[in-house]
Amino acid sequence: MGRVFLIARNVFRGILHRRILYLWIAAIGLLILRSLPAIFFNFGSEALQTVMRQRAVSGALDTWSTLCIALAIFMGASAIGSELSAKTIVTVFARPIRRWEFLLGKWLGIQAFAVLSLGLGLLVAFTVGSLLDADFQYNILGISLAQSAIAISLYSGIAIALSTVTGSGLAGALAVILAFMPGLVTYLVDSSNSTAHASGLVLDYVVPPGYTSHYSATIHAPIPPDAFNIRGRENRRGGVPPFMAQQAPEPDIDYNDESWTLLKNAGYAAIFFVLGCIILTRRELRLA
Amino acid sequence: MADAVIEINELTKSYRRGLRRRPVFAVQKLNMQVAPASIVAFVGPNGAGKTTTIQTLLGLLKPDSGSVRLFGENTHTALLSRVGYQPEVFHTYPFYTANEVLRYYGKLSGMSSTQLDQAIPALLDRMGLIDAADRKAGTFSKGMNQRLGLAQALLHDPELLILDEPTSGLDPEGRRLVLEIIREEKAKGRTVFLSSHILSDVERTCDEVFMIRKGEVVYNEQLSAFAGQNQQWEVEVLGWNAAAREGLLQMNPTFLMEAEERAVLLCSGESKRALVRLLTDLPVEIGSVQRHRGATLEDVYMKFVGRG
Repeated sequence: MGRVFLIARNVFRGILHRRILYLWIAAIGLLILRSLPAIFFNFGSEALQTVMRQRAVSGALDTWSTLCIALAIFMGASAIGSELSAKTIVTVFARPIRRWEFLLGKWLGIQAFAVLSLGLGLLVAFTVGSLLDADFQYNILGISLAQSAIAISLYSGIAIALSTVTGSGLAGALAVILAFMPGLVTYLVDSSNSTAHASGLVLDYVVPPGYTSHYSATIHAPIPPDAFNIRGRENRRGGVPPFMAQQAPEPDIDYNDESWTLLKNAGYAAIFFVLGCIILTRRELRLA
Repeated sequence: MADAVIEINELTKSYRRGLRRRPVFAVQKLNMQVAPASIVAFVGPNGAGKTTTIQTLLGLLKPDSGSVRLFGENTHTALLSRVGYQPEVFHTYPFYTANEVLRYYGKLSGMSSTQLDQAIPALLDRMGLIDAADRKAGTFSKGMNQRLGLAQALLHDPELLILDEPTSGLDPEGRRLVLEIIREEKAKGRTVFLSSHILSDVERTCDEVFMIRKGEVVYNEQLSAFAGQNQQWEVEVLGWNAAAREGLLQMNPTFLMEAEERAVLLCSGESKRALVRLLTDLPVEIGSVQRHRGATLEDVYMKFVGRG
C-alpha cells in the first residue's frame, strides 16, 4: 500500500500545483455573490433577516458540495490523460508498480482532496451558522455529507475508469452525463410506453442511483409567522406568503432508503473502478 | 548466450494507422541478446524502432509476436526493480524539487527512507546537481533535466540500465560525465543498454553495437573489431620512383596509393619504425606519418543504415 499512498500524495500535490486553488477562490466568490442578497438585503424584520441568512448558509453548502463533486469528476477524467500528455507515466511504469496500484492511488488522492474541500466548506458553514445561531439538523447533515462523500467517490471512480479508455474531455463529459441520468432513468421506468419502460429498466442496472442533496434542510430555519408584518402593516392574508412557505418544505427523509442508495452508489463506484483497473492493466501505453 | 540479461526473439510489433487501420511495422522479427556486465549500443535512425523495442522491454507495449525476456524471465512488474530506465527526454512533475523527484521514484522502486537519505545527496553530487537539490524540477535546463533523469535511473542501483539517448542535450562536460558514469556502471558489473545517435560516444563507450533499420537488426558487431583497425599507420612518400620501390621490396609493403612522385604505404605499429628508417636511406622524402583511419562506426552506419 506504500506505493498507493505515494501516488495519492503525488496527486494531492499535483492538484495544488494545477492552481486549483484559484478555481476554489472563484467558487467562493460565486457563493458569496449567491449569498449577497441574504447578507445585505434589508428584509425589514430582524427575524426574517436571520432566517434568510441561515438559509443562505445551507444553500451555499449545497452548492459547495456540488462543486466538490464536479472537481472530483474533472480530476478523475484527467487522471490518465494528464500523465500521458506530460509523458510522466513512462518513468512511473518503468518502476515495479502495478497499474491497479497506480489507479487506486490516483483515485484516493482525488477523493482525499475533494473530501477535504468539502470539509473546509462544512467548517466555514458551521462557523458562519454558529454566528447566526443556526439550528443545524445533524441527522440530515450527516446523511447529506455521506451522500456527498459517496458521490465524490462514485463520480471520480467513473471518470477515472473512463479516462483509461478515452481522452480527458470525453471521460469527463460521459461522467457528467451519467450523473444526470438517474432522473431520465426514473422517467423512462415510469413511462407508459413499453419501449421507453424497457430501456429504462435496462438503464436502471447500468446507471448508479446518483446523488441526492438534502443540504437545504440542514439548518432548521422556518420563516417566522409575523415576518411580513413590516412597519406595523399586517399582511393582507396574514402569516407567511405561500411562495415563501414552499421554499423550505420539511424534508421527509427515509434514512433506510438513503442508506441503501449510499450502499448501491458505493457498489457502483467499486465496479466502475475495477473495470478501469482491468482496462488499464490490459492497455498498451503508447506515447508519441 | 547463457544468462543473457536481455533476450529478444523474433519480436514483431506493429501499429494501426489511418482510416483503414493498416498495420505499420515498427519492429519486425528482431533478435537480440545482451550479455551481463556489457555496454551494448542500439543505434538507428529516427523511427527505426528503437523506442518501441525499449518500451516493449519495459512492458509498456505488448509484442504482436515473438518474446522479450529480462534476466531469463518474461517481463513482469516485479522484474522492473532490477531495471533503471532513462527516457530520451525525462519528463517529471514540475512541482517537485530534484530531491523530491528522486525520493518519489526511489520509493516507487521500493527503497526505504534511510536508503534514500544516503543515496540521494551522493547521487545529486555525482550528477553536479547538489546545488539544485531544492530547486523545482520545472525550472531545470534541458541538460540538468537529463542528468536528473539519469540520476533517477541509477538511484536504486539496478542491474540493468536502459538509457535512451542519455547524452542528448548535454554540454561537453555533461556528456563526458555521463559516459564516465556508464563505464563505472559496467565496472561494477552492471549491464547497460544504450540507445544513441552519437556514434563517437558509442565507439568510445560500448562493447557491442546493434544497428537497426526499419525495425530489423542490420548489423551486429563487437566494437573491439573497430579498435584494431586504428593500430595501423599511413606513411606518405614524396618523390616516389622505381629505385625506392625496389629498395622497399624486402619489406613487402601494402600500398594504399601509388602514383608518379607520390605513394602512401600502410604498415603496422611494429614495422613503422623500420619502414621510416629504410625510407630515410632512399632518395625519397617522407611527407607525413599518421594513424590509419580504418572503417569507423560512422562508415558502417552509413553503409548499413544510412540512406546513401
